[in-house]
Amino acid sequence: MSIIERQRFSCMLGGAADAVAAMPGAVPIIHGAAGCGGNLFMASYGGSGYCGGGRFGGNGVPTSALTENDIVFGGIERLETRLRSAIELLDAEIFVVLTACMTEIIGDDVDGAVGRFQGCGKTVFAVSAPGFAGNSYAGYEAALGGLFKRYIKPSPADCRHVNLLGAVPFHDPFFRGDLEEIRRLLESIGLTATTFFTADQTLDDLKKAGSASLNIVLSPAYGVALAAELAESHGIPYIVSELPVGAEASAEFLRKVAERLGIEGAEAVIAREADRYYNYVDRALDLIADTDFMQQYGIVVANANAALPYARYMRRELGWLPRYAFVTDSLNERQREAVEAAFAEAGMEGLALVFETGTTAVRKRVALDNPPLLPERYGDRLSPAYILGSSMEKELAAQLGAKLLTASFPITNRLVVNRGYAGYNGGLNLLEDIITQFVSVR
Amino acid sequence: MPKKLKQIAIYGKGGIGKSTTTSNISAALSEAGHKVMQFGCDPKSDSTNTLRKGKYIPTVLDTLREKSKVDARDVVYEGYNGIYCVEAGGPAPGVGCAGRGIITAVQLFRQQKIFDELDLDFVIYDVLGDVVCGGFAVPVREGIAEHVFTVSSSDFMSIYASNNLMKGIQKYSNVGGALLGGVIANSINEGYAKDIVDDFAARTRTRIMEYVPRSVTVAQSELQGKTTIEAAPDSAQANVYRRLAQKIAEHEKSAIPAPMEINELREWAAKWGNELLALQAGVVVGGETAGI
Ligand SMILES: Nc1ncnc2c1ncn2[C@@H]1O[C@H](COP(=O)(O)OP(=O)(O)OP(=O)(O)O)[C@@H](O)[C@H]1O
Ligand SMILES: [Mg+2]
Repeated sequence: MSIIERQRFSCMLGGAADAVAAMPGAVPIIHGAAGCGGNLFMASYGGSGYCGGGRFGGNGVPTSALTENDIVFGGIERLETRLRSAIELLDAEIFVVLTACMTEIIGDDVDGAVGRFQGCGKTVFAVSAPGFAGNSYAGYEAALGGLFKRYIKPSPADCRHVNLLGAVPFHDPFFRGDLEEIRRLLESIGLTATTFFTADQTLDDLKKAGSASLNIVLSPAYGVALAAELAESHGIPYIVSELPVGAEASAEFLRKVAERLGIEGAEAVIAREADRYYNYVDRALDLIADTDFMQQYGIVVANANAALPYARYMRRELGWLPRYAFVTDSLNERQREAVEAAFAEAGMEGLALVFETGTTAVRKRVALDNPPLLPERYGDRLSPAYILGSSMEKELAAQLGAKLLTASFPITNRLVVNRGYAGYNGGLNLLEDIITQFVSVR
Repeated sequence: MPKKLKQIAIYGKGGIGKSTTTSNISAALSEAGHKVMQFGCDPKSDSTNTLRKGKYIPTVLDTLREKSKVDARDVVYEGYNGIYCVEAGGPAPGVGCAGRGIITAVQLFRQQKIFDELDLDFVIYDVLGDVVCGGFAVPVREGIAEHVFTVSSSDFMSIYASNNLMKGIQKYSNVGGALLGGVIANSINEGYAKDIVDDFAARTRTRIMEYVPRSVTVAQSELQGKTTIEAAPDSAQANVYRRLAQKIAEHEKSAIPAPMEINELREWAAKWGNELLALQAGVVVGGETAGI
């Protein structure tokens, strides 16, 4: 049996609460003990570049805060009280009850309880999110799935509208910037998009998701099962795409979407974007080409969403040699196969794709493959190396004498507001951040 | 020297006679001069009924539901011959968590050190039939009861339940859990019934504490809201219960049982099934070898 130490996710409840709190006009209400909400928020907040809880999220999440008696006799009464006051006091439209472990274990009839709030003028529904049923990523899917089931009605398809699935709030620390940029790209070819989680989203954007003519899943692992369900329930077909990072990936992404929706004129957009992109890159080349950090071995330690995009960026945009992509999520077989297939399709020769949830194990694996050479001997060394990983890769960086840019969860050494690494703008951001690591000591 | 409190838990299949037997044991022990508490660990909260003229008493959890803090003394009710009666109680059927309720109730008593205060000799936990979750295993864990007795008839399902209980005891035995005192064989009338429970006890390396016959006296007493000891003190059945109580009072050393694996148990039952069939058909067991 393998152990997971310093895992990079919390539980289903955590993921669901984060997702609901990131939606416009929605309030998560945790039906469980008082500690769940606060503790889970500390995990996601601390690891996402300090992405705060917003109006109704994080430490502000209403909870039924059950105590012993509620467990013995059932917690429904307390939930109803809390739900009633939340609806009365909070200026929101959608109230999502999330069941924690203990209320699932004792079998509280939560659906019955929320049923009594139908007709109160607000949308009230429950999502089963016991921590034992999965990790944060499962919580994200459950919350978004609940929203589709209970709020977003299937509507006649608008051939110009799409939804963006797969970017997971908090656990993809750049989800806001990424989603904004992807939407900008889609708009540049004449589409509109529901992102669900960016600051500009309104309830109308959520409702409009029901009329999308395509769900674009920006992840090989997350949101795919949901998209398949939505194809049935809402009649929305879907495509799975890698999160495009940098000019080449973005061009591919635009072509793929345009082709799928029969949109003309994507090439002109791509040419224009590429011009601008490389104009900027060009200016940076004076620094990059002039110095000895021109080429590096690359190591990516990230979740299933970011691992391939980062590795490809290193290779295609920087011309580096990515050697490892550690995928740190706990994946089921289908998800793992999808990640493997995506890497295989990308043709990343010389790169080892490793599924590893444990932080020390990542370090051990690299050390095992690259034993320190005796000083008098020559040979291949994994040096100079550059890591795109999390704050937990500090030790790995020290071990290799490598540079580290924190670009995956958990990120504790930077504040992330709306920075993103996706698309053309994100590619430039990433370039900036990667190279800045070299010169920041000057 | 302070006398030592003996804590006992009674388990067994639902409806097999745990509460009846326990109440009679309590009554007999109390008659013999011991200070006894009977602690019903069952949301049905009917364990101590025959000690209290068939009346239900407010339960620990009923009281806890009303006020957040409960004084354990408020939920101890005196019954027949000064026996202290406690019912843990539980939530309404279908809501909440009855298992957690038992944990809460038992802990409440432990924390408030009521047993010392009442200077008890015996606490007998009467636990509900189907030990459906960890909460109902609490009396055998964490060193609450030292001795467990299982009530079983010769029916296969009852034996199956006892065997399962033994598995539980075995599991907790190396972490300070209670050990098995023995089997109380209930409703044993026909000869073969005794043979079956004897064989079961031998196979699982435990002992039969007493053979309690099925008797109308028990039912008659129950209808008056009394134990057999109280209602029919001179009956033969009452004497059986007295004998059982005395053996339990004298009982010192419990042991780790050797429960059968499921396949073993099935084969064992099938073997007995065949023998009973043969018995019915009039074939004398062992007749073949005896040349009959
Ligand atoms: N030896 C006996 N002779 C006659 N009747 C008996 C005998 N033992 C038990 N009974 C009867 O069987 C019925 C069930 O007994 P009891 O309530 O004690 O079972 P229990 O194991 O406590 O059940 P539960 O698991 O539901 O708590 C009662 O009506 C009781 O009078
Ligand atoms: Mg009973």
